[in-house]
Amino acid sequence: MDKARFLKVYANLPINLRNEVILVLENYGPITWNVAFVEIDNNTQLGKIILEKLINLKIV
Amino acid sequence: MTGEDKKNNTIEKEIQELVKARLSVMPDNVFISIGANGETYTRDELIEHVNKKDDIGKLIIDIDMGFLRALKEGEIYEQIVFNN
Amino acid sequence: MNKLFLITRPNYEITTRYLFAWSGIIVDTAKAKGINVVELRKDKANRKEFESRLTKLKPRLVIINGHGSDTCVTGHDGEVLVEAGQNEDILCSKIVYSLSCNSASCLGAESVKAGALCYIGYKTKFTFFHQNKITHPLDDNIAKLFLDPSNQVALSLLKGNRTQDANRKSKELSMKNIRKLLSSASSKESALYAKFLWSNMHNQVCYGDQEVCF
Repeated sequence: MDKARFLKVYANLPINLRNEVILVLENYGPITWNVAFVEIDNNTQLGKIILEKLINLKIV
Repeated sequence: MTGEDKKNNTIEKEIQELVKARLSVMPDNVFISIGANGETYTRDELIEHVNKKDDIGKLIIDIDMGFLRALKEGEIYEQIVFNN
Repeated sequence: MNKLFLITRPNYEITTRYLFAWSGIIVDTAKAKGINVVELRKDKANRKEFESRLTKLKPRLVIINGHGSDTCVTGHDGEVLVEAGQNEDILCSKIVYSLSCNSASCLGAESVKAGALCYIGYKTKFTFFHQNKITHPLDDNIAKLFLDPSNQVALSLLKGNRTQDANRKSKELSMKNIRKLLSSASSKESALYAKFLWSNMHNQVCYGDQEVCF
């Protein structure tokens, strides 16, 4: 459900926004929409962390 | 400090770091005029204000996070597509 | 009856230098249309001149360039021209466009209560990016993204559009610029400008009579 929300927001993003930083993670540094998409779409552990943080920040 | 306060503090800190990272794309030769006092700011000055979380810093955070949330709510998409 | 409008054009630091240059376009357009303009340029944009001209000449349209707060708008050197609770009634029977920070949030509403026909302005800070082209502000393509939509309010009113249409056309121009900034053809920093343009647009309001024309 959360993944679906992210994918919906991502799909509607203008192209020029997809390289924007949307998160800064302690061990990974800046994360862009595109990086978040790759991780979340592949259901990685990092993707789960990114998604949770995006929800907490009310970005998704 | 309660658990809720700690969580809110963490989120605030994350927002600050995020806004600072997003400001880093601002070119060196570009400035921003922010009304009331006629002051203009460089990228590094804006980042400093975000660090301090003073009035200017809070304004920048509000504008940046406001835009991100408008994206999430579909407001930007609606305006782009339906007011074309 | 010849139309008459008053415009304040302070010019004492970088921000007002830009507003001075860009508001020149409004003045030139008005003159080309044969509209009478009362210009309060630079140090003439002070409270005494402002109040005196409004009282004697009774312009129907007033355009205020400068800084501001929730309760006031300023002129040259930051001198307060209109302040809520003091002299907002001076805007009675006028259409007002205020390119100043925050003034719509309190002064705008109070002016309309005191009889202003309409007040178009901003509920929060009006911001714009620029390249510090102090000698040629009109050559600044980044500032243009922000100041063209602002000028559009005044230009639409001068054309005789209703206040709601002037407000709408200005916002449409903001959105047009935002769409361009968010396209794949734009530079990586363009998204930054889009955000602030969005904020200006989102906080631009039109209080009072939406059907009135200049």
